[in-house]
Amino acid sequence: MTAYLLTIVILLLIAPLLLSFIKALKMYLLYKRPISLLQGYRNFAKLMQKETIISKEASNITRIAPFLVLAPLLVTLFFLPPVVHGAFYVSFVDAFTITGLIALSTFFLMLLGLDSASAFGGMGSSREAFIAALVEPAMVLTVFSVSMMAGDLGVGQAGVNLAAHFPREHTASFLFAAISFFILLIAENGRIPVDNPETHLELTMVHEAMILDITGVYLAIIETAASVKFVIFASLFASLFLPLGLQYALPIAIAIFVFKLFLIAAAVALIEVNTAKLRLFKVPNLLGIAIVFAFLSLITFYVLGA
Amino acid sequence: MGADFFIGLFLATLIVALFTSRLYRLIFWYSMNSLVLGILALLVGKALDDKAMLITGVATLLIKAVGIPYLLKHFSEKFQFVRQIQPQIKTHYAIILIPAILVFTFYLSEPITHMMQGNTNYVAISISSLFLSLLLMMEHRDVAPKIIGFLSMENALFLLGITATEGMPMLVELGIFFDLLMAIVVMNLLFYKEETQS
Amino acid sequence: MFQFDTLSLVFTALIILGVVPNLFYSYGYLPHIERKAYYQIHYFAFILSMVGVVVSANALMFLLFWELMSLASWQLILTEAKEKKTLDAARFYFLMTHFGFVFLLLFFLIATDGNLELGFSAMHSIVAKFAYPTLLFFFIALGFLSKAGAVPLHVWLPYAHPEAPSPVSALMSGVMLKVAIYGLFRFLFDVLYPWPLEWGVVILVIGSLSSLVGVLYALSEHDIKALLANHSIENIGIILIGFGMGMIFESMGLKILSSFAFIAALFHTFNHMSFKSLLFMGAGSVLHQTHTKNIEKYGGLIKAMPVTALTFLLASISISALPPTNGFLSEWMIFQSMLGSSHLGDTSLKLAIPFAIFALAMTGGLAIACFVKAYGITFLGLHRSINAKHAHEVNILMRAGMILMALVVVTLMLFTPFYIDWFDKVLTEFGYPSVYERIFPEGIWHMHSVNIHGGVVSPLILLGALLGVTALLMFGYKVLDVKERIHRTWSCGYHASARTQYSATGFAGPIRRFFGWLYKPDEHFSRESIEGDSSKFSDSHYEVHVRPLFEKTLYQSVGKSANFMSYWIYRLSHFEQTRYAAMIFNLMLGVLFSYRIFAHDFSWATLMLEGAVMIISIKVLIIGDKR
Repeated sequence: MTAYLLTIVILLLIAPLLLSFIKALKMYLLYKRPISLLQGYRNFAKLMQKETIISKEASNITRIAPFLVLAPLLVTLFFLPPVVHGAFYVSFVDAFTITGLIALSTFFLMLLGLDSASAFGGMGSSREAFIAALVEPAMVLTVFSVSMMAGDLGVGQAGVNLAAHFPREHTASFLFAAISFFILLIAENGRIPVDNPETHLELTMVHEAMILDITGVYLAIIETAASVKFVIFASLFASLFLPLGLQYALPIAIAIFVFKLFLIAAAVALIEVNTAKLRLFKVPNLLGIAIVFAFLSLITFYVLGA
Repeated sequence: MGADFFIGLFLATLIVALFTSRLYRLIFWYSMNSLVLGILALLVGKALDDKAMLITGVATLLIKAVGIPYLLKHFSEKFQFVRQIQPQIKTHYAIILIPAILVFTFYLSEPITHMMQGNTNYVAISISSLFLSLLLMMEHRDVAPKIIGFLSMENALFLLGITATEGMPMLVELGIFFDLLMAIVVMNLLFYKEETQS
Repeated sequence: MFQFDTLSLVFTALIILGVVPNLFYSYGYLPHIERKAYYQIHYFAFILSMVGVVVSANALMFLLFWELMSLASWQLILTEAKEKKTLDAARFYFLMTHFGFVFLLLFFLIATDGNLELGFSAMHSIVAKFAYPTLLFFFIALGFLSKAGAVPLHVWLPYAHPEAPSPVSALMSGVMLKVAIYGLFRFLFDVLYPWPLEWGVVILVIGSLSSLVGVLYALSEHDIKALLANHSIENIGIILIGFGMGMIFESMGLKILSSFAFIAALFHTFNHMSFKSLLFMGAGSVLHQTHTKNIEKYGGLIKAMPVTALTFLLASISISALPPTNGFLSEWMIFQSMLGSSHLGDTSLKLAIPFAIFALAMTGGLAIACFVKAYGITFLGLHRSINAKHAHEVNILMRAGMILMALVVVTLMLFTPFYIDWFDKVLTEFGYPSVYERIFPEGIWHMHSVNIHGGVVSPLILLGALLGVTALLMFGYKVLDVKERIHRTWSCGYHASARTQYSATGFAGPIRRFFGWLYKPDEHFSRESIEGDSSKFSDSHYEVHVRPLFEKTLYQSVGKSANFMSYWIYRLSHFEQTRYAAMIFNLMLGVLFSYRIFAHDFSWATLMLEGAVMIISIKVLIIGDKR
């Protein structure tokens, strides 16, 4: 139980650190002087001291949506696979439930965008709806096929099974699911090449457009939600596709896990530096690859048992 | 186990190559494909302790993963190929068609796999790679992607040869190299035509 | 004459749950209707005939009440028959429902050997001796699925349901479609038992297609009731997917998995009744206040109609299958039943079921997009027209109706184990083993699925966790005592006005473009430019209309097929090289397939599957897109 709670606290604490790490690495690779790694925390503290401005055109949805964007993601943090053998994990969550919880968070974010009655909010919601409609089937298929290969549909149990006994006979399907999930990680968290998290031009905004009109504590909540979402996806990837290091003692296991998270963050930063953002109507090409790979991993497992 | 991983990579690079719209990217994925194939040949050769396979593996790596892509790039610069190659099949059709092809080649190769006793899944994946490279050839209009599709078909046949038989009978190898020869002849012809046209 | 076994009682309970809130709503809506006596007579006749259908014990009673139900609903559509659109929709509905009725009559005449007063179990012995049960299956399928609105017999639904008065739309979409599903249950279990594998596959395929087609056309609509009606098609598709999986498992002898799948289908039936009725009631309230059905004219209604907005939000979250609502639970159960097929031996099933899983996952994502659009454009933002500006909350009877229905949704979410227990009793009466113990082995907190990989979900814990965390966050916000200021929306320094907001057409724009190959919309764009300069214009008008695909092909294709054939004969001789290579590819594929089917071993499922692949590959590689 202590390992479980300790993991959750650590994940919550390093969430802003991961995003600042990605940004700092990108700046370093572009020969700029990188920002401090603690910038995420500083932003949070600064936003918590500001006053909230609520627009006249908005309704009560703007008052409650930020909380409903963060709550499902915080609840999902409790449902992730464990990082060390013998830790407590929750057994009643499977692929559809996790995708559903993340979709619940996105639902309220989209409503928030439409509530501000500005063209930017509507545009962000519309694009996000388009991307989410293509991402959700891929995510459900990927995590279901990985869970079935691991022998149990519950995500926590699947993580433990994979660490105990990696199914070598299914490596091909695994590889396809890994590629698909990595593309989904990029798409759902709004990184290049799907969405630019540092832009403020409406041509290139998806996530930023929906939150253009909120500030203060609400913006702090939503930025925390974005970093928690990244941590959730990264730790799912680390537990399901890089299931190493669970057999050591608790401090070493947690250190290995955090190292895996930073490795994934570094991979994302490298991809961001080397790719250009895709036009919105070219995003289905990329997501199509994700869907085909997800479907492929399900099929190779089902039909071939490979 | 290791072979599983690399066969998965083989199929993965082929599918990604089906979605690209730029020529240099396609060449890059083709060379990745051949690289994985070479590594696979080396692995199988080491496991079976077959000298011929090891040499073929190294040859594949050198020629197909390095030599041919370099040659293609050189030709494309010399003959000013069109580098923006849009697939004729739209994305939404491709998303349905590619899984359908995969599923049906798995299904079609069932009688064959019942006959084999070894790695049945690998044969199925090789046959589906064959069909997917045929799709690659069909989906673009220009000459260069068609050639790359033809070359990927070579790779798929080579993979089929490795996995279906333990090792590689000389006959199959000769057959494949004859095909390659034909390919080079055809390429020359086409490039000659391109050159005279432009 | 009447029977009251568990299936009938469960469906009667469904009808009562759907009708009681609707009664309140209907009486609140009554001042808006001109022909009050006419409406009330037909309304009660409609309700009584639906109850009559589900409790009939012989063919004559069943047909009598079925016809009464169709006629009552037809007359109800014509309550406010002022426009030509209403008359056309009513006529179309009359035709389609009697088209289905003819097939039902044929079925009953054969199954009862002419004696329509026969009970259902007596019919079973007659049918068992009949030489062509598949013919009877198609009669039933055409009869009931045309009333339920499954592809390809769904074309009347988006026309008929919106034209009826709002309480009637809620009843038709929420309850009448389910009565058709009752018919499918009753006659497939009681009379046409046992089932070959192919029937289950047919229902599965129809279900998958309906769910995709329904949600795609719902996204393109800008009439709120037509949007909801198209969505009903999608949910009927999901129910049919669960039903088809149950039939497939049953014909392979896996009774426990089959029972689970049927329970999932029944649960989704109840859930859909609850939230679709609630959505139609909400849409009706909005229509009542703004006098228009066009979403583009709504906006900002949440401030004027808070109760309607809240119940509509609850129903939207539920229909998008987001946790922890009841819609999520039933879709979860249907996914689990599809995944339970992973250890089956039949290869063609193993190939078809992943496609069905993919279709269901795809509709989940698209449904979320659809309902964000419906809720967001209707209730959020600024008023887009004068109609919306002068709206206010509806009267207390209508509000009571909506709140009661929302309570039904909440009970379905919270008291799931009790409903599952009832459905289990329904199935045990038909000879299935009881799976309640296997679904809830540890009491009511965790719901297990019965397949070998063992999925679990805990709706109550999820609900509790979400509410708890949200309450904690809001409490934290209060404690921080943050200063708040009200100011205008930023909008990059411009004033946010109703005209610069996103419209529904714009919201669905990227999706409409992506699926343009299916919609083939006609777009009209006209603008008045200033002094002939094409980049400056004073006024512009953009309209886009989507004609439904099935209507175009099935109902208007006679004249076009002749043109089509002559065009293709012309093109055949003028193909480019790629097309010839593709033709050779398809011929090769055809040869391999024919070898497999005719010389190797034959099965209908394989034939259908391979035919589908041939058609897909011919369409994509040879025909491609129109120039």
